[in-house]
Amino acid sequence: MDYIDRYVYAVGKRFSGKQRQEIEQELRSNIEDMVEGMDEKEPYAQRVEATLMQLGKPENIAQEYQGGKRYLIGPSYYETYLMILKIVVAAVLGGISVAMLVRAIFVTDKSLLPLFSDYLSALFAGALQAFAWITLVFVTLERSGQTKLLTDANHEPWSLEDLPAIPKKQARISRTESVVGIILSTLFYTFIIVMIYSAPHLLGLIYSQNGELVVIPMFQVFVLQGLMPFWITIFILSLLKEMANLFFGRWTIKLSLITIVLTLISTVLAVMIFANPEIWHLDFAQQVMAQMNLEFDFISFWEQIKRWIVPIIVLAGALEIIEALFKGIRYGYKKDA
Amino acid sequence: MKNEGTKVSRDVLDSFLLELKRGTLVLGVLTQLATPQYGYALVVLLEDKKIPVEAGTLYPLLRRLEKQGVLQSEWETEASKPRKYYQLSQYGKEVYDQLCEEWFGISDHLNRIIRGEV
Repeated sequence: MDYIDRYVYAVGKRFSGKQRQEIEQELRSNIEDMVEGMDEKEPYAQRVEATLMQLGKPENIAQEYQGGKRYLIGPSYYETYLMILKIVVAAVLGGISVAMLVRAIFVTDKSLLPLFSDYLSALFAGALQAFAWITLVFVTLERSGQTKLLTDANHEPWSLEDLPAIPKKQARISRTESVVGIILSTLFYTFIIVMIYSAPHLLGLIYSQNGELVVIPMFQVFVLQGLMPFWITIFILSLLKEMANLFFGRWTIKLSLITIVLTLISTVLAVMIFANPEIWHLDFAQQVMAQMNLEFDFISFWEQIKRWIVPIIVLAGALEIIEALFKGIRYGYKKDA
Repeated sequence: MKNEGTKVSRDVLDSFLLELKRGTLVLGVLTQLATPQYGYALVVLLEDKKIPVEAGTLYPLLRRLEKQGVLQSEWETEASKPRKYYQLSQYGKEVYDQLCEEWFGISDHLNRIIRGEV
């Protein structure tokens, strides 16, 4: 009896409420029937064992009851998921390595052990973060697979007219370019994020004085670190953009809209970072003037740079949006493609 | 070398056979459900008629067919132990009739092609 109880429990635990009760009750009565149906000369325990072995793994039966397999990330996304995961994790590790190397150069204390353990834990944390975020994106995709964000619905009736025309060369988005884009932005943002997190004072003007490397910090460390969520979001948005390119593989209206929305958000975030005058180190320009014996007025030059940085970010965002809009409309319509 | 060849083709054959049986599973089950049957009785019935079905596949299948409205069920609690009896619903009967017709068509055509009559 013990094995039957355990078997029924193993199948039933995957269900809940009334469904569980029904499945367990029915399965139990069937099992008991099967045991009784066997050769009565066999000992009872052996008949139970034979019956349960014949029924097979409880997981499989439970799966049959559920009506098929269910996936966290299904076959339609799995290959892409693996590819993106490998690329991004590798690039994150690369970005962290570069950032930690930069930090190591400026360490005056020559003991390498704490630096090395810092490096290892940063690698671990970075890989974990990358893994978690990418998995989250793909799980969301899988969940919304029935709604049609990135795939066209599979079950709607379709006609030959729905077959997209083979895109013109200009309408295509090169896979290699998207992959390189993912690698570059991961390297860049990981580097920035690790630097802000672990050595923000090193972001600045670096020069050599009497054979020693000296840094004049450009940013206000605490303000910069407080804006970390902004950087991380911008990073994720840029990855999403490249991943959308990879999925579509060609310009369409939908891709154009996705690109526009993502660009809009990341531009706004970047503006929020750099429009805040407090992120700049107060006497960066004065220090540069004093230390480097510059002959021109670096202070007002620096003021100009700070004044122009937001307009430049806006302009870059606007150009990207216009490009996406243009390509979406130009190549997005089937008749025109 | 030759042995290896036969072994591989046996695997292939088995997988085709499995597909074939899986395809006719529902039809086989439905043939026996004009009268109410419970899970294990159905396993025995089908086995006697040389259409063996895995019990572990059959029990969940019955439940799925019920959800689809092809079968209707009733718990029989008066006997020494409660059993769930399944039977074709009205809708299920119509499905079954049409399925049979399709089956005759498919098997006729295929048989004739195989025998070289067409």
